[in-house]
Amino acid sequence: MASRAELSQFLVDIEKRAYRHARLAVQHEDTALDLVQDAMLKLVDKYQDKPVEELPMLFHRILQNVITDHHRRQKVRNFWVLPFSLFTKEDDDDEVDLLSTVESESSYGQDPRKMLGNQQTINIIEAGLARLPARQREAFLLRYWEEHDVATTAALMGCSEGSVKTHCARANASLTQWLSEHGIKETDHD
Amino acid sequence: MTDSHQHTARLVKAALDHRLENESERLQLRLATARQSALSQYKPAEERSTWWKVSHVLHLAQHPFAYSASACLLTLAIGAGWWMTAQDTQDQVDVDTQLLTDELPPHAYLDEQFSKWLEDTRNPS
Repeated sequence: MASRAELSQFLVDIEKRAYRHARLAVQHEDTALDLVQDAMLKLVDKYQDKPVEELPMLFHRILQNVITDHHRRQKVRNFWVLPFSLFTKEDDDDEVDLLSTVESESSYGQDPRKMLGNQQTINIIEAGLARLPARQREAFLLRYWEEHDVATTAALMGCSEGSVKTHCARANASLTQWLSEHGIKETDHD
Repeated sequence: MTDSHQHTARLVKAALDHRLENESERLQLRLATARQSALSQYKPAEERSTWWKVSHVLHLAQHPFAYSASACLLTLAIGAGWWMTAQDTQDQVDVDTQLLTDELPPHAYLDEQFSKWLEDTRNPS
């Protein structure tokens, strides 16, 4: 059973990543913070008697469920508020255009470390991630950002290892194309 | 995974790590507040043994399906009770009708158990 100190340390360790997951999923800072807080509350309220080693998986599932619930509520709200919402793109509203600050200059050929220092490049990368379908983004982030292996990613997502590989491959292909379209191409990374 | 895909994965990881390292003070403060708010729900084990179980039962009662399930069970119970009462009444009505119309078969009058049942139903006390 997790003590208060262990729970607190766990939440400190994951809160920024959790926020970034939520932020990429909902594209709104305040909403993302609300969702992370909601997930934290649910974890502490319902699963405080679980062992510490089970917390990461539980928290991930809670956060993803909270995000999914938010999307469902948003969809229902849009349906009633906007009579023609069915004919519009799902992600149109409340979306922050991450590319709005991108200037026209191309970053092709620069060193990636320098490029990463560049806010515009990060915005482009985040915009690319935000465009991915939810499950592809989740698989990609777990696999390549959080560096879980395929089996752990599959367990976290509640799907087969084959599905994880498929999601990751598709996400990677989409992102590679997106980055290429925005002038971020292969360069010497090391 | 091709080289370009590996490059993409590395680039995305580096970008997101960069974001993590440079989150604003305001955001970190808000996350800390959210964390403290969540941790305020923490109950020590000794308190949880009584209070926690009660709250979880109450929480279960707040489940959206709890009300509809309770309503279904109540309706079923009332329906079953009504049906059983209606069956008894109908049996009695049938026998009375047959007695009045003289449609009872002769062996019914010779059946001691039938006579006793008839007495019991007319004088329940």
